[in-house]
Amino acid sequence: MSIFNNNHTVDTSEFLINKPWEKEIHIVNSDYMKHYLYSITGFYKELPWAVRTSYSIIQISCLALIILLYILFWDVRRKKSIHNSYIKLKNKYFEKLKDICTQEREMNETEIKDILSINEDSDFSYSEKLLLIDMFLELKMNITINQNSIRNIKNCIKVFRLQEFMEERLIKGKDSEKLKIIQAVRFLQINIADSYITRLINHRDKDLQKAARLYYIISNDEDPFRYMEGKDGNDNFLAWDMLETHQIFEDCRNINKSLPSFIPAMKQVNNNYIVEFFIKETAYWGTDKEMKYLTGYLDSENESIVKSALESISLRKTKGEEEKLKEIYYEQPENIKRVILFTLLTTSPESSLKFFSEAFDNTSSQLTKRMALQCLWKAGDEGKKLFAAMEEKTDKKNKILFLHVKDSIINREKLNLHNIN
Amino acid sequence: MKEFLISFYGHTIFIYSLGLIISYVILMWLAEISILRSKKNNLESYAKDLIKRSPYTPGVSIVAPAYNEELTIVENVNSLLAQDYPLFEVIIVNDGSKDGTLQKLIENFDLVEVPYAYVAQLKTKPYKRMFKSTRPEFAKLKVVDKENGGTKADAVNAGLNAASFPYFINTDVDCILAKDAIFQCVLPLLSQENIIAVSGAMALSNGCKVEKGQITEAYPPHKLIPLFQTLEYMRSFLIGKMGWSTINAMPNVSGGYGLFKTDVVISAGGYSPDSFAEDMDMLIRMVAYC
Repeated sequence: MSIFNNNHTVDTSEFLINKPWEKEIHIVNSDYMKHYLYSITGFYKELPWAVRTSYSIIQISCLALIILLYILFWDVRRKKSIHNSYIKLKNKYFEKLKDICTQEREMNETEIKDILSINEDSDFSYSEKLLLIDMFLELKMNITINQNSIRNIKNCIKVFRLQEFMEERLIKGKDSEKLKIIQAVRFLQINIADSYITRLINHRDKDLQKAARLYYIISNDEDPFRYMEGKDGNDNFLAWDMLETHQIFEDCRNINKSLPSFIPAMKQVNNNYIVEFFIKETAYWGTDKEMKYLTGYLDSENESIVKSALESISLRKTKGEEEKLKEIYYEQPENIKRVILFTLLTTSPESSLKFFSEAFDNTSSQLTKRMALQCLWKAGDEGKKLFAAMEEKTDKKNKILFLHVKDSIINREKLNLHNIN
Repeated sequence: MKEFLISFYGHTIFIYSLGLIISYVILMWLAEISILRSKKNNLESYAKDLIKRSPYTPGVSIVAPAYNEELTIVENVNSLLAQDYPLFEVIIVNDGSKDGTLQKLIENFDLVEVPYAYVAQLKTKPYKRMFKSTRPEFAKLKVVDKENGGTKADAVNAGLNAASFPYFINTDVDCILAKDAIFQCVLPLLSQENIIAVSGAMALSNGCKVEKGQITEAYPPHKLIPLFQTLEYMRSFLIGKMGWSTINAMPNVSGGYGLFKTDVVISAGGYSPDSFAEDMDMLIRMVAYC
């Protein structure tokens, strides 16, 4: 039986129709409703399987579409209403908060309450409190932070009783909510009781676990790097972790919290990404003595570790490494050679002029040649003299490199340490 | 025989439709997982602040080929330059335009020819010259002038040869980017391992109100055909790409807007200049290289 063959005509007086696709049926008025109802409740038993399947799919799709549209409209309405509430709160408090947080003195809670017209009876709903947290984040991004800004932000947060709210959400909230609260706590530098966050250090959710472990660096004095690496050392240390951890170290520095040396930590971890990161961070926060330990990493077989050590030396302008850098130069691939040249430019430009010139002559890479010339050009008057002498002798092919380096518009571009190609 | 053929045709259509519908239901379900995962993401203001301040933020080159785009080029370059990201450059590749595209750029952005040492890591049709602006506010703009290569791939390769940063965005010069477009693409790159390409979502701007290269009011297109195209874009980006990416099987990053790792693209041989589906071709070669 083909499902496509409907050209049969039969007597319609029959009451019971077993194969309706073979018959011409006349349905009128409310019978339509009954017909469809019986068909649906009977799972289209009277129809062939292909038609039944198609009907089912169409009906499920229609149902899904109706639900989806309903959710969509509900979501749009919800977002609009949240946005309106946010605007309302912002109109009421944002400018006042901005004034408070840019004051040159610390304001106490009573003063803040007076300015914001908040009294003991003022209460904010759950969603309003979430919006107030968002408003504080926006506020911090939009003001110039002075010595008292953070203290005033903290006092404002107390006035709105947001600290208690955040503590409560860290216990009762969903995982995603907890993660965002931890980030807000860190961003706004709120002094929350450590236990609210450190209890999440072994949480099953990896993102939350990582956020709590990063917070541990700020809260712990004895062994802050304890959780930098997972149990077996295989936990990934992502670029995002690098950004966050660097910020945490900066926050530690801002609140005068001293960090232990990165050197022993580098030796304790197995994960090379963390070693690279610690090497780079030594340049930002380490002492001059610690910087000297980085020389050892210039002999590493891992190219990324060598590059990190070079970047650190360059960033701190550490003197005394010139000979070592020149010694390892010719063993390195071209991209590392360029970083070495840049490092020599920042640490000892005057004593490296001849080296830059040799580096130009001894490479076939146009990018390395260009870097060597850039180093010469930026290495003071003597460098410029040597540059001019080389330019006179150069062949037609390399002439453009000299013109490129000398050009004032191109030279406006600053070389970025972590983005040298 | 006729009945058999009709029946066979009917069954084929039926099975095909069934397969298609089921595959889309599965993709929708996977896309939903992706959306739920993204809800767990970082606090946006926190992430933006971190990216703005960190010395580790990766630089991004926006590469946009232009061929006979004189009507829209100025507004669109302004839109590309308005990105809210701390470290980026815009490289417009004038692919041998026969109209006034280059002239419009020169006039509006005060461009002058500079002696740029162009290093052809990827082979392209001959490079002619490089332009940069004399005005510091357009310091991020580079204009590469080259001979027409016939395909977008050749122009993108030329742009890559002039790119300075470890990541690049391949886009079209007639695309209007949201202000935080780079930020949105960089975020997954930073927070996940081994990402070599990120696809952005695109929609039609017919019907939208555009001022100074930015969409100020978003509306769907008013005509039927663009509306259907919008629907197709939504299917492709919100269901297709999002669904496949949940299981790490996205077959294509759109040539209209996608972020790529520069060294992987160069090592994989760059975009194939003889291909008219260079985006899919590139992604497959990148995966093969990695």
